[in-house]
Amino acid sequence: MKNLVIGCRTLENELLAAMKLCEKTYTVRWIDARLHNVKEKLNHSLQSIIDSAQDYDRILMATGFCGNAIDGLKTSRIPVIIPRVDDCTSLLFNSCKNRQAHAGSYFLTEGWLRGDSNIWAEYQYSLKKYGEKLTQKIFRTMFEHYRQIALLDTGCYPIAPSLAQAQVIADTFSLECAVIPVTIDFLTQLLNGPWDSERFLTVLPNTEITASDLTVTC
Amino acid sequence: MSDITSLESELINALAQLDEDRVYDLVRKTLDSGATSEQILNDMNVGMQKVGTIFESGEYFIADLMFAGMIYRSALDVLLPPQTSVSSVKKGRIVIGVVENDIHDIGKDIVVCLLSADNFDVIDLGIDMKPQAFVSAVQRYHPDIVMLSGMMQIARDSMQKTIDALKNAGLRDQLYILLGGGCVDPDILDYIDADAAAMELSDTLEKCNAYVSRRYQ
Repeated sequence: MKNLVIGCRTLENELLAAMKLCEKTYTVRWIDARLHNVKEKLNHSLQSIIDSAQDYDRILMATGFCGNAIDGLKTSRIPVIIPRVDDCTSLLFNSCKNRQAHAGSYFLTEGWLRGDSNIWAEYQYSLKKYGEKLTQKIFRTMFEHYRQIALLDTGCYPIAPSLAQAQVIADTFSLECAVIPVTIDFLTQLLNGPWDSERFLTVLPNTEITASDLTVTC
Repeated sequence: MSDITSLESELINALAQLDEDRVYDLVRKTLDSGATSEQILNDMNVGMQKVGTIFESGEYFIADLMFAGMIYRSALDVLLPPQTSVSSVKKGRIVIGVVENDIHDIGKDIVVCLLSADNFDVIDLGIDMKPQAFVSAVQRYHPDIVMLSGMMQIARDSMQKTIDALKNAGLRDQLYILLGGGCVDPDILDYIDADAAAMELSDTLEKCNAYVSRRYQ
């Protein structure tokens, strides 16, 4: 079987590590993390990849449901397999429930910090546009119900440089800074199979994903 | 009328351009020129939609969306001062909260403000509220409407769990349950057992008003 993997750049470290661990050499089509900001754009980008994957037998999506951006996607002649999690943070926590135990956390990984639309880039943009006083007000509102910046230690990148960055962000927004160990188990399971219906949504060929398909694993 | 139209157009653009002081000034001027609160609210909603479009184009950042929400919220205080909304007889009672596992409340806070100004008795439970908290609130306050708010996708599960808890407590049938927030889409009622869902602020107000009108006819 010839598999194509769709991966988000935010999880590049983790997906590449999982591929190595599973000894898989599947082709990966990367999607830009910025697409998450607009559900329709992410949906169109994913649909475009699905439509163009004519030379493969199966698509493995190393993502979650991404704010239901996958709702309405149509498979072609090959199936698509998607982890049953709301987003890639829950993917790293191996379930939505594990992630929920850390309510009030703003999650980061090296991949998120590397992205050019990350929270620090937002902050710098805001400082430039609105000045110090208003920026503080905006970000106080944004982080009102957060208690900590949580760096997810996936074991797939050197933690020290990212932790230093996370600490600066936490200090700036008067939040605590924590490191939370997570795993790439969901990704390795996605790459290796089997894909039980509790943890994976298997979309058969020539099928449209509907809202009722989007139940997450707990 | 042409003045109102021109002012309204300026207001829409001022909000779209995130010109805070000008928005407040134009809200006052538009009110003074004879426009109704509803008209101005509609204008501000159009302005917010423009903000969303600019964000989608990549020109605005999330910080801009946050700022737009803050301007909108503050403009409501200009538009709907408390003395214009005081009435001894409330239209109905609403319990509202952000459901469990979600903490995003800017939209909810705006809705609370609008409904209070529209003479509803609003009990705001806050964020990350467990299903049992809604059950307890319904038992204590006997509302006409329960509004479940959420932004994250996981909030949808919490919405259904909250409705299940209300059912198990024997409270479901006496309530009008309205869903709102960023996690709501046009299909949500296909799989969540609520009475209605609102994707726009104006829609929220209309649905609440329509329900209490039917209930107390």
